[in-house]
Amino acid sequence: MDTDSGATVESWRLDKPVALAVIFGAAGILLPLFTIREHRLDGGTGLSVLSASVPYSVLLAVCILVPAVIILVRTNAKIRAGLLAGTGSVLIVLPWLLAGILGSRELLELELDLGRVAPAGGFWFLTLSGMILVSEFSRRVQGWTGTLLVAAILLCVFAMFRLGLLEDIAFIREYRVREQRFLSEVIAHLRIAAMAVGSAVLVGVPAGIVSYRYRVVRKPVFSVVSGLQTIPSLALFGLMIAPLAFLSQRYPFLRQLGIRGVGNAPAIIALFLYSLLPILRNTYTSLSVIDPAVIEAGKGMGMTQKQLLFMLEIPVALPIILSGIRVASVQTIGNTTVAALIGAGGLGNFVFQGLGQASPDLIVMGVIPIVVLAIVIDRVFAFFIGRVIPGARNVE
Amino acid sequence: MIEFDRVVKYYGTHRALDGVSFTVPDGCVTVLIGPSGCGKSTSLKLVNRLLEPDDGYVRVNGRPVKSFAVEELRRGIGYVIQSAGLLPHMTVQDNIGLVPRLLGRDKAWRRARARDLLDLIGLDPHAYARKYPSQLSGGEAQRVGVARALAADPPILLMDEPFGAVDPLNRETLQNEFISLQRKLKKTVIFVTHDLDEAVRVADRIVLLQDGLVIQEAAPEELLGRPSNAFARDFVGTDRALKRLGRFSVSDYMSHDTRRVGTKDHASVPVDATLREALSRILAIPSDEISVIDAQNRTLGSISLEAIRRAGCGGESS
Amino acid sequence: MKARSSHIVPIVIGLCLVFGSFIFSVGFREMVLRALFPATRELIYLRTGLPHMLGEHLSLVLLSSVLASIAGFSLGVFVTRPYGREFLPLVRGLSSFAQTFPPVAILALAFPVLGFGFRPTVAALFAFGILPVLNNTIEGIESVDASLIEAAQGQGMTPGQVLLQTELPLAAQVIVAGIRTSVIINIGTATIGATIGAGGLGTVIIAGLVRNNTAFVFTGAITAAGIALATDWLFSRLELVFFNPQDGVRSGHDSTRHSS
Repeated sequence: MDTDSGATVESWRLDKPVALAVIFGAAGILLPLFTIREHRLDGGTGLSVLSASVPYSVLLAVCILVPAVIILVRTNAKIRAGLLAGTGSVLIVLPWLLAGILGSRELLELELDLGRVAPAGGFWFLTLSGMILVSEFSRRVQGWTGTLLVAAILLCVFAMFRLGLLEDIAFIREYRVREQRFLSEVIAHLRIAAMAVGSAVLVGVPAGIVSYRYRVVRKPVFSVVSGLQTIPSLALFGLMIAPLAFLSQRYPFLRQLGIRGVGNAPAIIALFLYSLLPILRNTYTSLSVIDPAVIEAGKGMGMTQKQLLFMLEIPVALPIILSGIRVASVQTIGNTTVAALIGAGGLGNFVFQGLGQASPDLIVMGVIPIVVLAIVIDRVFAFFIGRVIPGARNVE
Repeated sequence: MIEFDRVVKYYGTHRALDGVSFTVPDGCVTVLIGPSGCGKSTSLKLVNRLLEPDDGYVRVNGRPVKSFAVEELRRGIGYVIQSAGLLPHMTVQDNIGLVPRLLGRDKAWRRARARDLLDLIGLDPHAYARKYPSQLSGGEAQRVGVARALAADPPILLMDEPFGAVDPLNRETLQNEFISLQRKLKKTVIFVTHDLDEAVRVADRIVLLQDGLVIQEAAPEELLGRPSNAFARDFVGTDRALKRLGRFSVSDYMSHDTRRVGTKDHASVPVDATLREALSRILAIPSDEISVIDAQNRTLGSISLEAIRRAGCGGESS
Repeated sequence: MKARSSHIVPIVIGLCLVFGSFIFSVGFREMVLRALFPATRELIYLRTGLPHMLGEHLSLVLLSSVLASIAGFSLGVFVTRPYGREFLPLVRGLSSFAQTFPPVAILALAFPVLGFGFRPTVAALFAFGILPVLNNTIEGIESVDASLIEAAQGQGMTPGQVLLQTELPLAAQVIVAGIRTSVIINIGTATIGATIGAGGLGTVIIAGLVRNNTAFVFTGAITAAGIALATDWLFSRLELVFFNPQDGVRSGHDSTRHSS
């Protein structure tokens, strides 16, 4: 008997991340899931899922108990991963639905026509718990399965939104008021970022190649560009204003082109300067880390300087150059937000309007698409970089 | 024929080559050997103009390499380097087809050529053509490197420590494959190595270099038999007689008298072995003689310690 | 190297003097701004003094960076210990996910959760500042050659000794680079902190933007830029003194750097 229990104790190991998810999940059930607010700027009163609906409480509790049981009982790895994926997805998706449905019901009962539902601590704890479980699932499976699950979860939330189930959630309310402007700001945001990163690619990649070929220019180019990256974004935006205002006053044709001290022009220039460093640095690094033997082989086979660059050096360096563009793009999506402060378009307008009006819902409404854009762009680049790494095409 | 005519090369103020002259005859393997820093790799790179001499001439078929357009020259010379230097973003077949591509050959021709060459170097085209360099072992990559150098069928092959990065067991296999390949192709090869055993195994001629000077230019047997000075003697080592035996084949020194062999101990040596191996086998048995067998295990005759000794002394002048 | 640094010293001292006078002497500042913006009537922002805003800015950054460095470093060490290693993939995944969050988004979200003012800003700067320190701590410790750790263990070092005498000294350069990135990001994000009422150098920039006063914007921007560049320069000196520089170009360590 003693020896038996000794053996099981030894083979049993606490799965700490899952345990953490269970604790967060439990907190999520106990804490207020959302707050009911009478109007836009009301502080609101919190409501936990326990006090709102018994059946849903039970469902959530099951989703937390299953991982808890997984920790205690040894099961087959496949079933385990499946259960993690299932409970994790429910823990992420369900809070949205609950805030939508239960929140609306509550508003009706209280007869709050202008009332709204805002996600609260419990909502975010449940989301975090679900994210941990999903990330533990992704770690256990190979390839793109994890990403697909995340995509499915996002699609689910989007579907609920399209079906009108989330209308009473506060930042959805804010969105509905600004539906038209929302789309145009998203496009403006993307356009500003794309123009900045695009020109940074056009300048940064050649500059990286030149710094690699001619060592003398490397130091000055790098110190200037990395100095630019060090300057706070708001300061860099600010520093653009005076010279551009001056230029547009001096040369009317610039004004006709829409170049003024404030607006999109200074924003794009500043964001362009910001994007240079990751692109320049990665181009330079990627070229300098190419195995000298490969270059010697290329020369030895009779490649001209041009062939060496286009058939050998750039293709070999491509994955690292692309990761530079990836870092620059994600960073620029973020910094474009700040550009709203100097009168440029983009989603930053919602965020700073929200801050100005002290309206948390408007802020959240502006921040969510920014974060989603950054993540989507990051994943898209990750996908393409995976495709251009030699051998990757073969493995898939 | 490739000629080095009083070639001088400086690295800064360091004289890497100090008036080097030697010739590389057509159709055979000339090994450049010497301690590191002796100028052997430098000499090799002067041929395809990865380096330019400061004085003197390098000529290919009587024409100075300087007079060729550099890319044209290089496309006509196969080049194999130590770490293979395969382009990581291209498949094996695209790597092999690279020089033909530079020469303007079409895709179908390049594919076919790559498959032929993979066959030639003993890699299955079906399994290997579409692999990427990162998916190859060191030995496989090196074979592909050789195939790539052969792709445009250049008459000249430059090999810069081609098997230096491969583990000893694979190295010997690669050397043997190279020897049999060269027997078929009869390229003019300059082969750089610092490994004397490798040099002795693959060379038709050896050029021994030290501090940018040619110390001795000779057939391997001669270098081992009559090292021209103290450095050469030192370099070939005290076991040079033994190494030299590695150049001779049992078939040339055996007796075809099958009756004389004692068969009770079953010791034997294959007919295509070297005298060095035969000696090693004899030393392991109580007899002074060992039977020689062919691939089918048939006894062809025997070889004696005395015959090996005579062969070993053959080059040595007393 | 000696000759070059002695060459640089007078330039640095000169820049410091000019910059210092600009910040602390209102008269000098007015002179400079008058020359640059002859058409502007109101050149000096009077509501808050520049030295005071600078002080607020530096305390925002100092407080949040110290806390973030401690937290990021501790978490990084924890997940590379045997008892915390299970969390390593999770922490890595979450932190690389979090790194795609723009710092300004974190700052903006601090308001709904924590409200306006100095403390929410510190909290937001702290939250984002953890990531570079955490990432570099993990990267630095993980890149220590396993055979060195084995050798240390083989000599009978306790796990604590292995950490303090082998892993951390070898990882120190990468960790410091992470702190540098974190501090620079925080200097930048703190500028935007003015929009949630944190004070700092962003205050005068925002005031200038609102009132269409380019001189105000310039005052704040040039000061913030100067502080960021000076801090970055100080860090590069620090790295030069404590670690052997092999290369003039910074590479790798700040590859994940976001500025804001």
